[in-house]
Amino acid sequence: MDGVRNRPQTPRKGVSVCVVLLFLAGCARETPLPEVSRLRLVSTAPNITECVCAIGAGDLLVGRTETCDYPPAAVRKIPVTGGFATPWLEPLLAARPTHVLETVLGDPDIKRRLDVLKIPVVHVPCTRLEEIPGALCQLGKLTGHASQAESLAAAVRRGVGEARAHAAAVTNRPRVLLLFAPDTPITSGRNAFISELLELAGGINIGRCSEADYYHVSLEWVLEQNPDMILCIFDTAGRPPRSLFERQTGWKALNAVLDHRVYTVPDLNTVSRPGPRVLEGLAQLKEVLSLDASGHASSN
Amino acid sequence: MFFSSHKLFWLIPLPFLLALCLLIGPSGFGLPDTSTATGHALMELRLSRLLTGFIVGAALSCSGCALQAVLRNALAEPYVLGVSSGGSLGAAFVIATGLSAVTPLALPLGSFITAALTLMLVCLLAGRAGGYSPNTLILTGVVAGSMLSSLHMLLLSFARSQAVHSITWWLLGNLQVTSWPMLLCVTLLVIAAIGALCFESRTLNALLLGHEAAHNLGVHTRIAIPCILAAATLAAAAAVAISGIIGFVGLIVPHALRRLIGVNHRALIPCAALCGGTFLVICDTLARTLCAPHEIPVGVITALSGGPFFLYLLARKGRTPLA
Repeated sequence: MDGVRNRPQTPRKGVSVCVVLLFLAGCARETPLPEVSRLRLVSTAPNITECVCAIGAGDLLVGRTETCDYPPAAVRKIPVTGGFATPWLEPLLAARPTHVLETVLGDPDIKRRLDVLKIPVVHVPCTRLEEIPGALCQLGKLTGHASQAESLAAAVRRGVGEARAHAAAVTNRPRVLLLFAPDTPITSGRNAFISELLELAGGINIGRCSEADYYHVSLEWVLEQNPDMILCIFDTAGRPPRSLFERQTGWKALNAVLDHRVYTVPDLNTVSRPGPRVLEGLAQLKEVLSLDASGHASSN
Repeated sequence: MFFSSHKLFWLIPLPFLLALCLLIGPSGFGLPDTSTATGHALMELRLSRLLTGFIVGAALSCSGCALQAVLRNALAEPYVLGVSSGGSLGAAFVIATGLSAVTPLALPLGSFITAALTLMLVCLLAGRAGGYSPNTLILTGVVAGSMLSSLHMLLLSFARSQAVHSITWWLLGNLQVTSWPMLLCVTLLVIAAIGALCFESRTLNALLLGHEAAHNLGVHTRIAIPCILAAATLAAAAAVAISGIIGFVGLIVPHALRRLIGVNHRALIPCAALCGGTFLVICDTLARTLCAPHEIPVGVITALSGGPFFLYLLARKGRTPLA
């Protein structure tokens, strides 16, 4: 009896589901961009903060990460709303953003939550060298600073192009170990931003055999590779970088350590953060490589 | 004889396995050419890795053996008294404050000091709370470990991303020792601790019957138990200091050996030292070579090989793994 009674309800259910779906489809439309003057942006990555400030839209930022430190005067005024790639929901909501800018999110669920709260999450691809000009233009269009963004992007493209032409002409390229920690041999693969920058500056990253961005290598492999120089991408606490390795088992036998070819760069962020200061980072790496070349030539 | 000679046969392949591990590395199979500077350094590196692996494995296995007997708990392992949490907190502090960049000795020293302080705190609190009964010791260790882990998390949440990376790698375990004098210090400490545990092997046998029964058999439990705990945990603390947290060695090696040679600690402790050391050296060789040039954390290999064994142990019914 129950089955007979339920049978005619099935098409009615289907019709009602269709009606609801049609209604929802009718309601769904692209969220219109708010007027530029009313934009309130939250950045979830330090390189995005740098990009926004570099195109002159820093005053639109109402939230940033705790790792954002450049430009210092501008970021000091912006409240912290999360860590790198990990926004904290409550401070973020308190900032009443109209858009959240991300290049990579630690927890993809954050995007779903923000979607529910009708806060658009704008993905700005900016993890590789070639993505920087595009990211600047995208942010310029969003914030109404298209012309400044275009000119900055053109300058980055021009600088990178020149460096690429110059790097192609370099014949004597040192094989470099990029090292990210004093206590663990962590290096970067060919897809990491700093690896691209090093190759552009005229060096060869010995870790480029891997596609991983950053990975742990065995010291035996480092010894076998025997790099010409070591570039420390970590804070050496004011000590000469070579002094960290000269007494350590294995490390002390490397040619780079024996030949005093262990270096660091003055500003670690410019060489490891894909952003508008990419040409500064490139210049720093070039300076280290030329310092090494001159020192090595004189010692020979 | 405290164990029959036929049970010793399976110890014969151990030196050959160790020699094989010395021949294998990410740079290839065979002994490096020691006439060249690089070959000499490679040989030195492999030897230091092998010795570190052996010492750490021996320390963790013997520590696990002793703690399982004293606490009369099959799940007891070297880190049960909060040593790993204490050591991690010290290491995280040294890395986060940048002290590890000042001297390579800062990391093992910081880790060892906090681990030893944790042991003292746990023994003091457990002694006051109701003697050294297994439940009191385990509870005190777990609570102290949780509190120290919370402090560790707090430190991690404020650390820079580079420091977080280093701390995470340290926690996963690494047998790359930075200097021979440091390895020598740890070796002497571990040998002294294992010697003390061998000396107390009769006491450990008596403790398997329960603290009261052991007392009735003439064991001075109020002196013997803290001494055994100190020796076992200091061995683990020394291991943590040079290698980070390497799990499962101290849990599975003692259980596997009990199945092979029985529960007599006069045989169990020396065999645990030999087998635990060899097991960790094999795991480390796999960690270095399986995905070269990537180095897999050795803790991953020990857990992957130890996990299924542990589940098998849990699945067994009606038999206590300590008997």
